[in-house]
Amino acid sequence: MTAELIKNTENFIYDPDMKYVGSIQGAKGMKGEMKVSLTTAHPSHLLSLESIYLKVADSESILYTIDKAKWDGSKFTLKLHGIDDRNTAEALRGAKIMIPEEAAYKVGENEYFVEDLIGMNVVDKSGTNLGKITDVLKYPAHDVYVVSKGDNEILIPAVHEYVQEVNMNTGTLMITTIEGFNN
Amino acid sequence: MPRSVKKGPYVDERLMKKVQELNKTRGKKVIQTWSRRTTIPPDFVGHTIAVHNGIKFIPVYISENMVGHKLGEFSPTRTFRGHAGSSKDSSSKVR
Repeated sequence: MTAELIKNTENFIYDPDMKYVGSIQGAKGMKGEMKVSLTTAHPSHLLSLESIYLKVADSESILYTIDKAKWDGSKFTLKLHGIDDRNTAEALRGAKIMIPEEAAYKVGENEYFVEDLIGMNVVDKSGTNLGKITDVLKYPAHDVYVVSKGDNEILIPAVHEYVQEVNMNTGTLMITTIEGFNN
Repeated sequence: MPRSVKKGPYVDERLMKKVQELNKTRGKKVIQTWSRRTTIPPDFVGHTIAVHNGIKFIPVYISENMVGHKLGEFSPTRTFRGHAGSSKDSSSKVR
């Protein structure tokens, strides 16, 4: 990593290769806990982190150790080391929560970032180009890839039965098609 | 009040007929249906059924753990697209 770390008393000042995961919404309670508005789709991953960076307005990011983090399925609360009263917590309202790129969520096996999938070429086993993925729809059973070619749109269930191979290097997704996908 | 056990689960007849035909011929085909109230019987496992959600047909690949649920449960009629500035790191898993 090309990041330059500069020690500044107890906290680090750190800048490049950061990922924005949310912001401080305000104080919660009297003991310095803060409500967090998340922009990441993987809040439970943040629970495993030991520290985060806070960026207030245009200042540089400051490293804080996490004392306590809680995710109840809809709300994320954070207690940082050194922020022990409501006034200090309230002063951080609007601060951006950043984490280093290396600490960001990594996809597992057979899992892909939606951003990477969108724009991929979809081909069938015979090599026929079916179009490009334009959207990924989240449904209860499985995700559905929207493959568009001109005005034609195909919906492909994201299951191993149909998705044979995802090649991120060439940007192609090989699928098995069956009768009825084109409707 | 639940449906009487005596009657058995409701399955759209035309849909059942189409699935049984595919099972007989071991064929694979996406079957379109408007019957969201159909309970998924074990015969449907492994088939893909395009369930109408009021706007379009959503392909649903039927797996074993869907048996006993209604088809409509897997083709929601409302889609929450998230608030502004929502996640850019969302991921999709091939199941």
